[in-house]
Amino acid sequence: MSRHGGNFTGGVLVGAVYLAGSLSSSVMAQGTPPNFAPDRSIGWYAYNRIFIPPARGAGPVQQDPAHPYVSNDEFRATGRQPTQHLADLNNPIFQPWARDVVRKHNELVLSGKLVPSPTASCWPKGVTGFLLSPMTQPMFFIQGLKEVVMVLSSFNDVRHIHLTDKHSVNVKTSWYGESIGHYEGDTLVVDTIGLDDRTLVDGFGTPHTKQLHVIERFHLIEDGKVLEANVHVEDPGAFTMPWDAIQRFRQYEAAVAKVPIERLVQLASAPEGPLVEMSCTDNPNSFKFLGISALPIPEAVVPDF
Amino acid sequence: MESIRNSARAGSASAALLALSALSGSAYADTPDISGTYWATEYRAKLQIVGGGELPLTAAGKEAYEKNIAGLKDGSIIDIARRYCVPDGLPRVLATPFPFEIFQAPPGQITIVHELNHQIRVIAMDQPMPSEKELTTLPYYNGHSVGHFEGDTLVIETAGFNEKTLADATGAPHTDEMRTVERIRRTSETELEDVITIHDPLYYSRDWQARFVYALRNDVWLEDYVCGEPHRDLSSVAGVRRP
Repeated sequence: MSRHGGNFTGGVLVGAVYLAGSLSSSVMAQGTPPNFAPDRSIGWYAYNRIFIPPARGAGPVQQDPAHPYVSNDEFRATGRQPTQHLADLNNPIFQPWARDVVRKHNELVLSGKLVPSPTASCWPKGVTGFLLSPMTQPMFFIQGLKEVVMVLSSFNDVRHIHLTDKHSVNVKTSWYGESIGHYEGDTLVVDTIGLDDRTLVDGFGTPHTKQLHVIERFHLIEDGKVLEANVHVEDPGAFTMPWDAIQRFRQYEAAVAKVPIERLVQLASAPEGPLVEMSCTDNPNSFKFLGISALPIPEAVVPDF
Repeated sequence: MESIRNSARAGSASAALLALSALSGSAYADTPDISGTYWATEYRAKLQIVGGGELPLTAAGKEAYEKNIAGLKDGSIIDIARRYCVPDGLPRVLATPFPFEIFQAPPGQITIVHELNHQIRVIAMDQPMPSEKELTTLPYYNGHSVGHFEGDTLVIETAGFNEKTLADATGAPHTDEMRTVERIRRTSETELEDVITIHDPLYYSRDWQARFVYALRNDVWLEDYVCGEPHRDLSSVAGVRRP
């Protein structure tokens, strides 16, 4: 399987069986699997909230070049005025309805309105949005023998990746879908289907359908200081073609090393690991003073038990 | 529908597990393996004290408990663990009727991942309890935990709690000075036991214990948990009452 490729099943959820390769044979053939958590203090910070396009081929939605993006994180580090995501609608990957959704998002932004994402109201980020979030609070890996757990420090959002070679016969649609994984040499390959269509693919408001199928390949580069995720996305319901994207994460020291010391306090970053308890809904009233049309936070009017 | 699946998967060959053991097993090569997925078979809203009897409340504790019971009944106190799905806190989280997982990873840490409220407990195995200053400055719902093994038993000490949680679903109280010690061990091939000792002298006249038992359920995959949405079938857990 190529790094940007993957054998897709066409997004069929029920009865989907994806043969991701033999765990044992691939491990034995290509060496030691990657260790994304050699000690518990190591968390990973995303470089950017926008996916990096691949060297060639169809790529992710990018910022409209006429309106450069400056994130809040970049503001903290550089003092530049932050801006909002505004999509380049010329990307050929959009199905017409998906382009219309993103166009409306653009229009809201251009009208001067704040457009809070669902995740700002504590709703799950989904896949691939999970990879775009850990900017100011790190992402942690817990690598067990049968499962890898990915945790966003902010909100303690959790993804479960089961180290097996077949999806369930009947995949239940959920916020993070069903992820199976295996190691191919130095790479953790994660295959996810069964994704709830209430999440967004990126910060531009790009929608997806329940046919979304994502393959992520996580591996370390730059002597283990940088984690790279090569992402392959297929969703014929929302996209005209499969597309690829890259996200990179750095360890804490690497992240702050490039920031002038006088600006360190503006990074709003937690000290380097370990994972600590955080609850997004800790203060539900904090979302009410903003005066913007944010989604209500998840709330169980009737308790679960 | 429950997501119970076969635990034996074709790709998990022993050779691969040997290679992968370097990821999570090396730090605990000489320690008992208590990792796995666990699920209670019984739920009780009210804490059951080891040895029986009622909670040994002090006068202040009794007053706090009565206030909680009345507040939960008339709505002046919100059970935020159920309403907004914040972490349950100790010892209440131990009564969860949802499955949870124990990972003996990454090195120097035991990580307990709960399905309920996707709360995570981090047990530091490589450092002492944080200072009193840190505990009081950064209190957590589930507290700050440090652990070590004594023979086959994982001993977890926890302190540094906030006061937003209830000790059980009936409103049993605790203060932010509560300290707990858990002794967790596999009592058989298929069962895990957690005996917790509560030390909270402002509200309780003596230390007391509660015992929780869980079945090993590596056939279960944890599911997403979002507040207010339908969640897994709990009919296998005796005592659960859906409102």
